Amino acid sequence: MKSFVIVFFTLFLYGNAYSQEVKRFKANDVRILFLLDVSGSMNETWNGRKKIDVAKEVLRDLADSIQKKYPKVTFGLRVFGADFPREQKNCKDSRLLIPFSNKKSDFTQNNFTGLTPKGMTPIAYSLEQAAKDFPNDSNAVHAIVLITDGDENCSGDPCKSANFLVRKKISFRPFIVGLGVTEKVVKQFECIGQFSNTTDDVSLKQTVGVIIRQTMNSTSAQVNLLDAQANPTVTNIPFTLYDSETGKAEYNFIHTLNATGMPDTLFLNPLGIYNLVVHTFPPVRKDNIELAVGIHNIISVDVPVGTQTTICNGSAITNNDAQVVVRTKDNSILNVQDLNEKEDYLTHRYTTQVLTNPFYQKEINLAPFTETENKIPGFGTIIATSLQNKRVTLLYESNRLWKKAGEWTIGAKPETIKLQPGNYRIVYQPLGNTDTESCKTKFVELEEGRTLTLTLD
Amino acid sequence: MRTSIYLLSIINVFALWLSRRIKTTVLVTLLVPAFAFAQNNQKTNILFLMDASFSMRKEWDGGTKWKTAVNTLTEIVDNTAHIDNVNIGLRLFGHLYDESESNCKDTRLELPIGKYTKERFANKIGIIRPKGITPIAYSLEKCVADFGEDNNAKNILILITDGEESCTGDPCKAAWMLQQKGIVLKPFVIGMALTEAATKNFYCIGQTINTASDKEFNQTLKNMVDESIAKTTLQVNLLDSKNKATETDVAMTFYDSETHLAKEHFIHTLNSRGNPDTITISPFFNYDIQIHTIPELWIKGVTLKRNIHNEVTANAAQGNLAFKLQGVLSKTAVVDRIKCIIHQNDSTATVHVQKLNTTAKLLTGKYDLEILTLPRIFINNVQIDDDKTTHIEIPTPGILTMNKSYEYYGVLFMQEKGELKKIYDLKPALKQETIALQPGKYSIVYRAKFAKSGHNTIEKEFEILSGGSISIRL
Repeated sequence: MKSFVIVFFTLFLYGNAYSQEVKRFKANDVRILFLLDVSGSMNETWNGRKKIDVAKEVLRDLADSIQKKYPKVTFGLRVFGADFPREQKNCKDSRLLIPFSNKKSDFTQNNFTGLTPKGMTPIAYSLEQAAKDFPNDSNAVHAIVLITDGDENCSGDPCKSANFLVRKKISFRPFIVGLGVTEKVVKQFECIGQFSNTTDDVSLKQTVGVIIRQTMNSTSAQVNLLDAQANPTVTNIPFTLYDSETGKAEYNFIHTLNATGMPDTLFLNPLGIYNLVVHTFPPVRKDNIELAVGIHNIISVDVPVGTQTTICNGSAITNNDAQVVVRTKDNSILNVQDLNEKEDYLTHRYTTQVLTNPFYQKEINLAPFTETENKIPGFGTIIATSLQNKRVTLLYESNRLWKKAGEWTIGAKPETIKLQPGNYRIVYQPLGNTDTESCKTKFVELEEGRTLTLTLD
Repeated sequence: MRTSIYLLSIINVFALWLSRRIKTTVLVTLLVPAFAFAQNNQKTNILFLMDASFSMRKEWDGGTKWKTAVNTLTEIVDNTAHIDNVNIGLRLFGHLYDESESNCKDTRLELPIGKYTKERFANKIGIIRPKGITPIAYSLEKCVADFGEDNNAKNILILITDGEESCTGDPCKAAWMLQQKGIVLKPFVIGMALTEAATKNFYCIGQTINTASDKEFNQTLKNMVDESIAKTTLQVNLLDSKNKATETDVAMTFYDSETHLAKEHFIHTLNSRGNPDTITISPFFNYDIQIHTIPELWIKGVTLKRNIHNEVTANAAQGNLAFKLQGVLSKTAVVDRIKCIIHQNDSTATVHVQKLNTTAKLLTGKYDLEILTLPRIFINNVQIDDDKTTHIEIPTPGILTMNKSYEYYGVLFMQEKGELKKIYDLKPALKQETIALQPGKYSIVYRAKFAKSGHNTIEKEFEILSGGSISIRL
């Protein structure tokens, strides 16, 4: 009955362990929100036509052709500056004209009525509002294409708004398409996102088309763990990608080289900002990684590692459980490894402490690419008995000083003591002895692998 | 004047040579068992190295120097004849060849170390007439063999002379060599109407006392002998927190402060009255005493007053640290190897590595502990109080067994401050790994060695219960 209970217990835990492979991110839906400037200046003529008319036409045409070919792409339209004359300085003049909808025709059949340019350019406010325009969908990618002919003229900070969208994984960093924007104004957009200026209807159509296709492309990444020569040869090390906003561990990978020996391609959710932690000893961090949309991203981290092994011939945990404590400069424990176990560490100075009796302590300076082997001899054994119970102290010689290796009370039952090779002095006296000078000592030179049997008389 | 400068420079050169040789000397000396302490049946051998050069015939207090020396020695032989374990020997120099022959090897052991009656001694020395020169260095060298093989004996050399070396030998060097071989304690020198300069030249040999009269000589030599025979004793008081000398049962090593060589090892003992036991000890050394507590204690530069009882004291209040699991777990190698590394609170040096289910005796104070569980447990400021046991009980770990179908690279994580902390790297070569983990939630992230995509990485979460065991198939 008892054994049954134990078996059940074990099985229960086993069944409870959930497991899965790391998902390759693939967008089910692509949602693109056009953020269209309908401020007063859009009334200006541009190559013979009103800017607003050119923009309207280009957007409708692109949406139409793309939706036909790519059913998973849907569009939405938010406008600003469309409702209140500029004199009113309304900085909240922003409105979702066409929400995302499963009905593709909602966008293309909308004739954008009532879009008469008249108002301000509240870009920051509009970006903030855009956050609410996207549904909450972690299997989709979302993009904002801002089409404008001028910069923010309200007091908002569009950069801050853009960063918010990225951090919160609401959309990619906005794309900005300028309609003949002057050099000076271009600078204002740098912090918001990728800026492209256009000169006419053809270039506008081409530019927006390229952006849309880019957002539809899958985003991939590779993590290059660079050795001391800056080559991506380091691998098999675990790493974690955290969402920098929530701190959640989004991805755990064991770093892998592909069939050609290069870091393999990972398909990650392109939205958001990641913090990368490579789980070396000690860990290496790279914060604020933002993936560029629709392309292959290379994330490089310097991980110059060297290998440390403490060699002890013929020892297995079953007969030599001496661990090797690896300490950093401040003496804190970085890792504890076993004898003969290879472990990688970032190249640096460490102290290894091998917990044999007596223990060894050694400074090591790990150089990249090198294997530092620190060899220690195997233990010897002293088996001691005594007819009468004795108080026994074992001293070992270290730099002409004698240090304590241990204390025992030894009687008729043999005491087996594993010790590193060296010079020992066994100091002993009967329990309850009252005469210090009757205390005896035995000198023992212990060799690796040897067993000395001693009777303490 | 010129000669003495020359001599001094020779000594300096010698000292330099010696400092270079000291390592070799150390090794040699280590092999020779310590001789310093009077064991219960330890013999005291007193060898008189006496000047029988022509100048000893000089008049002295109404008699001659020779006569004074012979009378005093005869008296001493008589006085010590009845004392067990005290042996006397006599080596003379300058008594075989005339001064005119300048024989620099004129020395002979006339009475080997042994027991002699007053009569036998008087008969032997009665037929000797001082006549030769003063080959002190050569004679000192010869003394080595005179003491015999008893390694435990206390060997005392007393040089009686009325003049300086008259051959080319270096008495300082000869005396040094004697001590370095570990056979003889620092010699005594008793002078008979030496000049002040001559007296100083003997300082390098040993404790030198010049005498000016028959009576003074007689008394000084007798004191020297008494001092050699008498016991100098030492009591090491190991104080508890109430400043009572109750701490005991700890090993002690006595080092010669000068050479830093270990002279003797003891275990501290209380005598039948419950007081720290008395140790008979050679007063001719200064000692550094190492008490093998954890951490160890030192009483450095102990100079003993001769022929009396000495006491030294150290604060050695100790308490116990018991290191065990909160619950019971059947004996498993992976649990048994959990160790606790102990540091003193203000230091990075490891004072002790304690195994699970053991108790260690530590000096009172505060300690920082590093317990090598997975994950590691750090406990700082652990207080050890006098005569009390501080219990450190860690939660009983659970056992995780990983059975692997292939070779895997992998890692065990646990959450710490919202981030994943690496606890353990899987060993790719092992088909099965068993480790002890502290109770808690973990995740294991692994990937087959042959996989070519990071997306083949697999993650499993599991929980370890205290004392439980779980097995995961990768």
